[in-house]
Amino acid sequence: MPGTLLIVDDEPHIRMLLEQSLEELEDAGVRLLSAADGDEALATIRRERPDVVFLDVMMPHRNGFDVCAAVKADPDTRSVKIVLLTAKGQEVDRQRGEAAGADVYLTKPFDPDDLRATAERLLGIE
Amino acid sequence: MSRGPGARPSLVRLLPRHELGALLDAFVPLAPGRRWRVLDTAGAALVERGGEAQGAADGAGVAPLLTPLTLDGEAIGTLQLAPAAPLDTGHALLRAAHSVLEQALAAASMRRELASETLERYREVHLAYRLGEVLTGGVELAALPARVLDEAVRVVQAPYALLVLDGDADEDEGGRVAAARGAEGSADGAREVVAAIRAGGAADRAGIDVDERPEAAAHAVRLWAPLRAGERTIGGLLLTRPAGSRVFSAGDAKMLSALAAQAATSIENARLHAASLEQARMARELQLAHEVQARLMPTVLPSSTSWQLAAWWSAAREVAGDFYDATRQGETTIVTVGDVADKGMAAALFMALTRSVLRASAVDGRDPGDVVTRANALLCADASDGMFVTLAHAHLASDGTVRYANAGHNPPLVARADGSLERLPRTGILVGWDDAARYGVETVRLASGDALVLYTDGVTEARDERGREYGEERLVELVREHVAARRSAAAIVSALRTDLAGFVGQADAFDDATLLVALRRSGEGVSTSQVPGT
Repeated sequence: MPGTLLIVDDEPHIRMLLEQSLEELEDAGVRLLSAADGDEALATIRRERPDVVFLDVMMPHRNGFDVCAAVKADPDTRSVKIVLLTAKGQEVDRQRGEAAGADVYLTKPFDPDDLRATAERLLGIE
Repeated sequence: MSRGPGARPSLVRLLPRHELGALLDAFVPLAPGRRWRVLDTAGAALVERGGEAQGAADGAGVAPLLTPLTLDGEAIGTLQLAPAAPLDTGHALLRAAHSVLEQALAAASMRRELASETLERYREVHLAYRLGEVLTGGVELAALPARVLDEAVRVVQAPYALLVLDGDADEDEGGRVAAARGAEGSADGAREVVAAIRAGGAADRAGIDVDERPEAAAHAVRLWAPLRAGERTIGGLLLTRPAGSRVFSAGDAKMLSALAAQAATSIENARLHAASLEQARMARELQLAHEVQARLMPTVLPSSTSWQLAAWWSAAREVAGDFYDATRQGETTIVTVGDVADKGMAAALFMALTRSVLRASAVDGRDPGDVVTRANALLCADASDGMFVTLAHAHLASDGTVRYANAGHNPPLVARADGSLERLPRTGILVGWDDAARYGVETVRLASGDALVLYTDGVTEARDERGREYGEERLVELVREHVAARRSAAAIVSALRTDLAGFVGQADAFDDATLLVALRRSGEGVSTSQVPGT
């Protein structure tokens, strides 16, 4: 049951790394989408209803926590699984992420293998 | 999973549809009424731009202009302009758009390669970090191979993985499978692969190959890396995928090699650590056991006016199965020499038990046969692990009467002052064999100057450097000579020790050796004699 996965990061290079880490999921039929900021992310989530969102925390305007909280507060999008990506060692961020309702929390620099394994797990792919 | 250098990304992975579309948009006004399309290698349209109406492009019945989109000389798609216009403008436009797209694709490809490099670095950093955690986190040797395999299939995805360690000398060429991940029952097939890799001389470096043989289908796509500790190959890691799967990449091989290098060192260190711990533990245990056991032997023998005693005891290992004992009960001196049918710790424990049970049984004036019969019944009830002991057990009366039981032991000697010699035969089977066994008693009378010699086969079966046995004859001759010369019990024991040591030379003691001499005398006063040491 492949689904849709949204990657959100304002840094184009990081976004590309995330996409490239996850693009092999397309071979399994997963649809990969991306968004460059929090507003675009929210719009895409409401429009496309992705199953999983990899969401960067540090973004201008609407940051990852805000996006996560908004998604989890909306009954229509509550079931979307959110993976928060943030800088290593920021325990405060982890707590904020949990408060915002994030499902998984990964630290940057991310481990590509971890990233893929997390995506596969959340999408229910063997 | 890293992408091999040979794997060409698809067009749409290089440039997403909206970027392709944006590039084409610039050309739409230059070709009014005509339609631009980018097709993938299968001919499916990825992007369409321009053209007034759907189908208009093809409707004119004129063949569209086509040009392949290539990357590093390989076609990855097609750019199409339809319908064909007058040749000059159409071709020129197509060339221009083609040039722009290919430049964009080349730039995207370079970005991807840089990104791949970066991701590889990410993976290496994380691998090193995780290995540091996993391998140095106080992992026990037994758990290490499985941990290593978990990491291996994590960084290089494969349905089957195997970690082989070289076993002891008698292991087969494939080594010992220390851990496996994946389908049960595939281990044999994978072992064959390991053996094949070794036979091909490829055990010392990482490698990738594909085995085309039908019988190898389950493990056709292979990646392996040796586990090298210093200059030695101590085993290897093997990852396989079934026939038809994607071939492992050079990046996979690099990652596995990095993992194998760390893992090999950790495994070797854990092995050495465990071995030295075990050695130290064993040595401590044996030393302690030896001390405890030596304390069980009497340090002072109860000699009397009627009997002069001397004894010697030597352990082949730190812990022996031989023992001797000597006690007094009223006017009777009770002596025992025993040999547990094994060596090492278990034998020593059984020896200690036997000695205690015998002492406890030799009460109330029981005769030697009853003592051994009773001790045997008690020991049989206790000796669940099939330990046996042979015993010579004698009660020496002050008038020179010796009543004895011989439970499967080599015959004690009676050496007379007149030079004659007797052997005291068995009166029952070895102790610990049959709980219903009964032991008889025999009597022999010793005159002043006669000696009773109890010994274990460690004395007569001691071997010299060339493997020859000391033998009963040599013992008999020596005893006979010294008894005839009216030497003391201690002197006889001492002479025998010296002779035996001279005979054995530098050869390793194979068995424990014990000797007890009871010399009949008719002097006055009670004395004790020291044990000449152990």
